[in-house]
Amino acid sequence: MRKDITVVAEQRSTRGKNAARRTRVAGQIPAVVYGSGGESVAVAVSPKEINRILHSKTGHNTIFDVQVQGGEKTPVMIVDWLNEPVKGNLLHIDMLRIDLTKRLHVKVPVHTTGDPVGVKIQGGLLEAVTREIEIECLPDDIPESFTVDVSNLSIGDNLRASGVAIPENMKLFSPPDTVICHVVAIRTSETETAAAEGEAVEPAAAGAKAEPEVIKKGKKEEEGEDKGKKK
Amino acid sequence: MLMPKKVKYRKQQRGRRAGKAWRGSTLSFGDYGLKALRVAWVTDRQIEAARVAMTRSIKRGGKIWIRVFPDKPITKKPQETRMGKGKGAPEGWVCVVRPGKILFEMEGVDAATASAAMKLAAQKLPIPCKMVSREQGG
Repeated sequence: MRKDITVVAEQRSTRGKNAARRTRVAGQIPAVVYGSGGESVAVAVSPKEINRILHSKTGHNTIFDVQVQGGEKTPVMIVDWLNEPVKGNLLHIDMLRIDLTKRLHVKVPVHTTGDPVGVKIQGGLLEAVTREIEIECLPDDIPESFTVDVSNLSIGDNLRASGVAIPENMKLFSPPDTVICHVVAIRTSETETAAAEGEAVEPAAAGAKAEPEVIKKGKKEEEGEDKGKKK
Repeated sequence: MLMPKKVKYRKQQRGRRAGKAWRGSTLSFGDYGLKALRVAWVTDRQIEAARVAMTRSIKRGGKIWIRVFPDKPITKKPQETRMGKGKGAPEGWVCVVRPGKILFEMEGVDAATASAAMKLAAQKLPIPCKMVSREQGG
């Protein structure tokens, strides 16, 4: 979905991890703009603006404008991003130039509504297997998300990508048999505890510490020995 | 207790534990997760204790995923043994957990229940952990 946001980017002349670290210390993050037949440009952008885009309702599917050093505004989309594993700070993003007249492939989140019969009455659990489906559409037609009603699902039932209502101007690109969500029976805590205790008892009952099987070298070694003997 | 079924070698060298968990640091299955904040060797017993604590806490409902597997054998020499005479006997299994690694994931419970369960699980582990959720951007 296109939004009226302009991100100002500075072109980077330096490369490598040291320069990237310096960029981050200065309050910006390294980024790259590529695609649509143009050259790849290394830039630095403000992580605040990018985080605002990534955490918006349209998320990474937001199409916004990037202006590199006072040049022309180019419509782009965030196609990849890297977060620091512990604190979660944004470290780097990839921006893809978008041709607004060409169809493109995007991943759109799928949300569920309603309480499934399998959860409400049968006491199962609704498990989300795939949270995004890939579709093909024009950049202006990218939806925020798809919503599917799961109230009819009972234990053992599932909802597949083909069951998501997709408008005519879009095409499903994910395999149609991709499971979006299913209702599964929950193992009760009593059985879980019993199983856990059972597992804990097993090694003690065996007397010695259980050791896994060691894969032996086998045939190759024997052949090697035979050759050695022949010589 | 978790351990490999088959191994190529019975004993391993200790290895290095530097760096962060660049892989396995985002939620993949559930809505809530327990993230390690320091580096440690987490033993099979600790993983099992944390799992049992979580399962008992959420009682009925919810699903738990264990995202780590103890595939590294650790050895120990018997007590009052002189140094030398080779490496000790395999004693247990550990997994090398680096900061940022998601240890457990949970789905099918509300945030308060998940938080309480994760807190109990974290107490069974040798490192400080924090709960992450998909809403936060996990």
